[in-house]
Amino acid sequence: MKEQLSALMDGELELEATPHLYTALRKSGEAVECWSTYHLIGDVMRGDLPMQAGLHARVMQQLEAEPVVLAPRHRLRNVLHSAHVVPMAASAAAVAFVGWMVWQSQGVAVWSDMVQPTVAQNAISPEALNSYMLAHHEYAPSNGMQHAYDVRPVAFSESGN
Amino acid sequence: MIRKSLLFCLLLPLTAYGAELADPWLIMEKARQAAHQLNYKGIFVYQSGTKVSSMQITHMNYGPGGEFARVVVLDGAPREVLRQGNDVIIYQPKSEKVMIDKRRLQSGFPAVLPRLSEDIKSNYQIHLAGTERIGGRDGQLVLLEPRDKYRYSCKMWIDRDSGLLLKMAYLNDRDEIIEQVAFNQLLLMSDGGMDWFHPEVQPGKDYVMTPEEKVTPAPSQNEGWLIGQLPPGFRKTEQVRRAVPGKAFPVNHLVFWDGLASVSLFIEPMMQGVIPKIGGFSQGATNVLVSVHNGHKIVVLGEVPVATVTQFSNAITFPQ
Repeated sequence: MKEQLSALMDGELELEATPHLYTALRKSGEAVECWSTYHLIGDVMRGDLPMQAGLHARVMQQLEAEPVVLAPRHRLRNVLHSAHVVPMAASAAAVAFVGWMVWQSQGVAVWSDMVQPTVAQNAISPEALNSYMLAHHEYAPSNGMQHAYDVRPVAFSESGN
Repeated sequence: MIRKSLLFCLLLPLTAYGAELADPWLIMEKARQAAHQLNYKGIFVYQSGTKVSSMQITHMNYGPGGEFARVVVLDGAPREVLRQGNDVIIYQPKSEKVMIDKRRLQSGFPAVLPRLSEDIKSNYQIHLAGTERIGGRDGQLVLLEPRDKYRYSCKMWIDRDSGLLLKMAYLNDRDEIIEQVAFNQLLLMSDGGMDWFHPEVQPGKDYVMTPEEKVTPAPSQNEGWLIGQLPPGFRKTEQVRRAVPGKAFPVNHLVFWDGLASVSLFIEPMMQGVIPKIGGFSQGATNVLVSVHNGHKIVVLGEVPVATVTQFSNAITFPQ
């Protein structure tokens, strides 16, 4: 039945040629649902989803939400003491590498959350980096074996971002 | 004497055959093409660190009709992927609905080998190392060994019969496997119809499309930052401003490549009042480092050792 629906949707089957299918479509709620689902899937595959309403409003919202860039730069340095942060972070990461090896046997390893003690409670999580992973897999000329299908899309992340 | 020449005659065809297939680079290239061209069905297991998941793949190439694949994740949360070329649709059932997510992605296993390039030849050495049995088939073991410490070594087992990649593993500098993927069941097929190319439909559930991010990546320039001394052998293949899903505004995305492994570098201005989460983690062969330089968040990630992502991160400077 599902195969037939699929073929019907792709225009490979004439509706008249499959009276039992047509009857089923009219009678069975399940078949109707399958039918609309297949249409959605077909639309998605062809990339012609209907324009979503409210696009203008969403664009305007995004414009409102544009980030305020921390500038000018010479003030930044005072704020963040970044000139000191960078080399410190690098050396801490090198030290932390030893710890990372130990942690590796326990799965995902956070190997330098001690880079800055003040933000340790705010350490990164693999879930928060999913969107970067996806971007990486989309653009990398080859992605080794890291399985593209294994990266969970950001919108599906159980723990959120 | 007669015995000797007889032996020679016997060996001659063998050596000729051997010479024909002896170039390991060509065996690798053949495996890359086979993964796209052949029709096959199988189950493979992917292991990264302690995470293991098995997947079922069906792959068909209809010539001018295109390349199609369906991958069903068999362990843990159910997930299903339909692929047509690089266009990918991911289905993930939730309690009452099925989320549909559409994106462009590079091919997955077994179509993961890179094209032959000068880059890979100058950064890695290759040699053959006997035959091992993988998933009931004879696999020619091919070793890719890095010429320096900035990349992992890689082992490939390539089906002697079909030329298809059967197994692949990344190893660290102590020869420990850190990530691997392998078929444990593989069936080569001749032509077939397309009736397999649809997701398992779950009646009674709503199918919900995740909104697409519609920011077209555009070539970008360095905006106030400079890139200093990078690890050797990595060449920039891409520099764009692009939307990263979940981000409110575009970020700069640079991609570097050594012929096998790639490294992504993301540079984005930080929003006022946001406390950045910094640090690093690793999963399998992938290492990630997040840091802050001059009011910008820098994310480096790639299937390279920690030393490599660290040097990438440190290479970014912001001259006044």
